[in-house]
Amino acid sequence: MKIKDRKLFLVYILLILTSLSIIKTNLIYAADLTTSQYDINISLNYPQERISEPVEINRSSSETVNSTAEQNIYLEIFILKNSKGKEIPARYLKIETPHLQELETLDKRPRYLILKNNQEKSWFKIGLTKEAAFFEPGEYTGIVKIDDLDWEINISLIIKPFVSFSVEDNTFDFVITEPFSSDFFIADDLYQLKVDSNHSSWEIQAHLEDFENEEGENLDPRYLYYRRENADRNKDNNQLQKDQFSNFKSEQMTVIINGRDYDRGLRSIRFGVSLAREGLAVQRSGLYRGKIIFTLRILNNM
Amino acid sequence: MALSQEKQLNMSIDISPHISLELGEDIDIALEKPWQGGEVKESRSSLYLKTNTEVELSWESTVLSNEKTGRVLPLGIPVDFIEKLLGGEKVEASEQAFGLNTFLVNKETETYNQRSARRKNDDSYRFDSSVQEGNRLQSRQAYQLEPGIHDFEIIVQYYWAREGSWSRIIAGEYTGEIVYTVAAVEDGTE
Repeated sequence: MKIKDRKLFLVYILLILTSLSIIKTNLIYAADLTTSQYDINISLNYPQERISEPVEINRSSSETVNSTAEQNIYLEIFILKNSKGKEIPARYLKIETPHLQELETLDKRPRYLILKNNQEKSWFKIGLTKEAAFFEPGEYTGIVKIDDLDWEINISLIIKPFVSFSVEDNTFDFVITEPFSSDFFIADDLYQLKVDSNHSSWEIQAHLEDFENEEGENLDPRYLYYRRENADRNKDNNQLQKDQFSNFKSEQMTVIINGRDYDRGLRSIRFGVSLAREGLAVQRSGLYRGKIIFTLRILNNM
Repeated sequence: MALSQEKQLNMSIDISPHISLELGEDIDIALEKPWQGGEVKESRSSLYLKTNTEVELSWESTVLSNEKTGRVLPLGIPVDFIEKLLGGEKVEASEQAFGLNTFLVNKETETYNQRSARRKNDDSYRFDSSVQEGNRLQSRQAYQLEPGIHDFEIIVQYYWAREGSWSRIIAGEYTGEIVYTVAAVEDGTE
């Protein structure tokens, strides 16, 4: 072989080796990290903080000598979206890693350290704040990207419709000290109904039971009135009129509040009592005790 | 539609006992021709009572006295005498000069006719007086009333003798009061 040919041969060998090295580096770069799962599924059916099972990240030990071993591995923040494009922002998502002191919302920093250089194993968990349950029911999806690696973890969140109903107090006292000063009396205090829900397809019905005084005298439900009010309403009760109230009906369910009105801020009930009677009758004095039964109904048009 | 959750509110409505009493106009009696007696006459006023608790209604008059002279008008003719006269019964002429009677009639439940005044079977709608010590009127009892609106007519009947005894009524202006008292039966509040 001539010297010229030898040189050319060496150049070929060098080129081949360089190419192999580049190809090999790319292969190592793509397959350096593995994970225990490529899908994270979370389901929320009421307001609660949820956290996924740990997703393990492993660095291939045979490849620790390559260049990626020298760098920290980070997880980029992400968002979740439903099919309509509605997003669940990062502040409702949480992350936990061995490098965080505690569970943190995803809006605190642009990326999160998962694996330190030369570290072979790590893990992370994805979670949701309980407020996330208040987003529109449905499926939200997103992609978890870990550093610049080209594999991805799919995340799916199912938010189920829920309604949770509570009352702040189960007693309400209404005192009428001057029963002849008017025909209609309005309670000073508002009664609060608390409904947690992620939709408005519900209603609360009410019916009255057994309003009786000590002597067995009845106060007919039709004389008890109510109106929905915004709790922030700052009006003088004296400006309210009887025709701004609705009355209960005997042995009938009354829809006292619904999801749409509740969303508009009408979340409190103001009670009124009418003492107007026909002819010569009056409502006898006394302490009338009774029950109002509130029933939450979920409507089918969800 | 599916039943979901139920909550119960225990509610109390405390309606205080209350009494409202309104009296009509004052009653003025004028004997313009005192020598022309012998007939029962009457004046009327009203008593409106609204109560949401059981009450007892009673009344008592003061004496009718002349402010200037201090003289008291005697009510010598008994109530029964006036009643009998109105009922068309024959009564002996009274030696007394003047008599007064007052009672309450419930406007809604009894139509009262001066000439045929009779107590109905149910006396609760006519509340009567009696003369005390010859110069005062007092309800015969404390009359019990149910909660409601009671619209009474106050009827004051008066009679003076036609015969010579009329001259024993000393001329002048006599004034007095009928004090109506309404008391709650249960707790005694007025």
